[in-house]
Amino acid sequence: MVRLTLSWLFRRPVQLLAVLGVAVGLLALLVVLSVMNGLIEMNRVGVRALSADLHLIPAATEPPAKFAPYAAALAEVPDVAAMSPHLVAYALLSVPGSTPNLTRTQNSDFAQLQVVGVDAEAEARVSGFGEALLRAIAAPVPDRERPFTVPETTFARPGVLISDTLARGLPSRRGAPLRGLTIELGALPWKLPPAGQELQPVNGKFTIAGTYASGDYRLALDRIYMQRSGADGLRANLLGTRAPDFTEVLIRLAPGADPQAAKFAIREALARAGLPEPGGALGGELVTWEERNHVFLRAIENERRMITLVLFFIVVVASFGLFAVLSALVREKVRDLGVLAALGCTPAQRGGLVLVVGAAAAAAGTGLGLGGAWLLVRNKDAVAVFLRDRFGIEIFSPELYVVDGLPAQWDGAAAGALALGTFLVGIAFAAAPTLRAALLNPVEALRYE
Amino acid sequence: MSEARAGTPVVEARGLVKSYRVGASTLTVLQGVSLTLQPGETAALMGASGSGKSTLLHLLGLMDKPDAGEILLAGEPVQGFGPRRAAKMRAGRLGFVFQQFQLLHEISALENVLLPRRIANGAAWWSRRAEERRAARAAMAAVGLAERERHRPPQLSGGEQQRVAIARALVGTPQLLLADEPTGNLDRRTGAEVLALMLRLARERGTALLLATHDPEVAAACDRTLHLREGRVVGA
Repeated sequence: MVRLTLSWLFRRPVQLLAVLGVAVGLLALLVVLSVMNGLIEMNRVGVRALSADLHLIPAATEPPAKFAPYAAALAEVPDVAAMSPHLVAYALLSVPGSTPNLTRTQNSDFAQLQVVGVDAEAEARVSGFGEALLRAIAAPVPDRERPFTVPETTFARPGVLISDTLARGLPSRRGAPLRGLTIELGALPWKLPPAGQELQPVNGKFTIAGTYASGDYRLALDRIYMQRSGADGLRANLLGTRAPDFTEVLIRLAPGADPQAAKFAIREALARAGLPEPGGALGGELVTWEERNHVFLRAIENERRMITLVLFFIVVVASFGLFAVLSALVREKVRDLGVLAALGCTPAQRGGLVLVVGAAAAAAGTGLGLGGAWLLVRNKDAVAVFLRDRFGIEIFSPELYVVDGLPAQWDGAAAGALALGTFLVGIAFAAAPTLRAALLNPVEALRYE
Repeated sequence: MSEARAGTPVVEARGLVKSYRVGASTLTVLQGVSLTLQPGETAALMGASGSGKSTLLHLLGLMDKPDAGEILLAGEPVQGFGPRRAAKMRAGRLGFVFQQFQLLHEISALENVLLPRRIANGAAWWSRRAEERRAARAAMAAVGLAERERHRPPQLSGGEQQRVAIARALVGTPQLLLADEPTGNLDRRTGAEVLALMLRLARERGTALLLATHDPEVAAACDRTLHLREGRVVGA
């Protein structure tokens, strides 16, 4: 019986095609899913890099909150390992000498930039700011402890840091080095004037002190860093000395601290210090980095689910081939099934024969697809190089996606679940031919020509 | 092997009726067929084409159900048997030989002979496989094909294929062997050899044989001949 089953399975080329169909469908699903996982992880790392464990935006009070009482209150919380104040302004950027027309479409990347004033040393303690400077490509800073230091030139202005991504989009510099290049920022005031009064932006010139690397493409195009305070700081040069001295605090938690418990402790500490509760009637918020980026993170997770669903339908369609070949098998072997019935094969045994063939084909297709996908993901870079060198196919352009290689991450649990799903779909498609084999009339089967 | 009780017929049919619908009309093939076969008895079933010989064999072989009448196998009534129990009964007590040999082409002659035992043993096959393989080899030797056991059916002549079919039918030593024109596809000489072999083996094993044939010479070799005419058994 085993030999008979094997011959039904392997001596019919069309059966092997069905196996191959399932394998290719599952392989495509798992490879694409792994690349999606890689991209998602890359995005998460990118978003996480310049974030901190917690972000505290103080309640909107009049006059605006000062950093000192918040710093004192936060210092009382054991779970708080480090903190870094941010002062944020929104600005437009232009490069002197290039077209000043800010309404040009080509200048859209330079509108609505976020100028973040930081204390470099504190920032490096709470986030991946130091690593972002280290990984910079376009214009790495020479001293990461003093990243805003500009080259010693006669016309040096306060230093700013832009991202590698933004640096690539700056207008032609005619070969001038990026470090030391002067840019102009036009910032909105820190608060709107009363209705009817003129809105007066403040603009100033700055010198690019260097660049930073960011895996978060949105942030990279949006964010410019400069000093928060001092003569070269954001207040003194763009917002004015009446502006608040911070607009949010990034907090790094002690190792092993539970973010939700830490949030609770921080709220209590703020209350003890007589500071308004963030997220209360006066606004503000206290959130984890994931909560802060939840829309983006949910969106990319949603994309992955949708792609998984769509590709699984392809696997289902591929598995339909099993139904077709098993139906053909039952039709082709109807006399043999009749003989087996005459020899005493019960309906369950006859159906079982066809089911075993279907299950073996589904298992073979699933195994091939799973193994092939694993190998492909494991050797993704070699495959990418082979395709590029042999056929000129660039499957993932580093210039376009700002990554070093094809991102892919093998999720064993998801791959196992999808492989099981594929196998079960194959079994489900084998059900109808199985029933047909089980229910066939032995007399009619023996007379079948 | 299930031994028939002493004095109990291997098969007893009483008033079997079988009809088929052909378009809007009904064709009654068997109209009250009754017969009895004793252990070791051989009987030829003769009749014109379409007289219902094969239908009667299918009913006695539990592959089809009569519209009316009763069948007893070794004294046991089988009317109420469902497909599963009927299949078990075929595997344990019945053997079939067909005009077209009906061997499975994907497996060897020996594996074809082993099939009924494989089916009858079910889950117990693995523990009995060596013993069953010996029995299958003995059956192949009994039909003179010990040297051809590894050959697949398409590599054998018609006579050899029918010998394999006889070995397959008799390997489990059934109580009743049903043969539907077993020599119909063979030349005269080979047919005579196959018939002689089948009769000898059936008699040696005490297996009752009911053999459908058109050939009076074949019928003459059996203990008695039954004639099917107008849906009824006539003659001795």
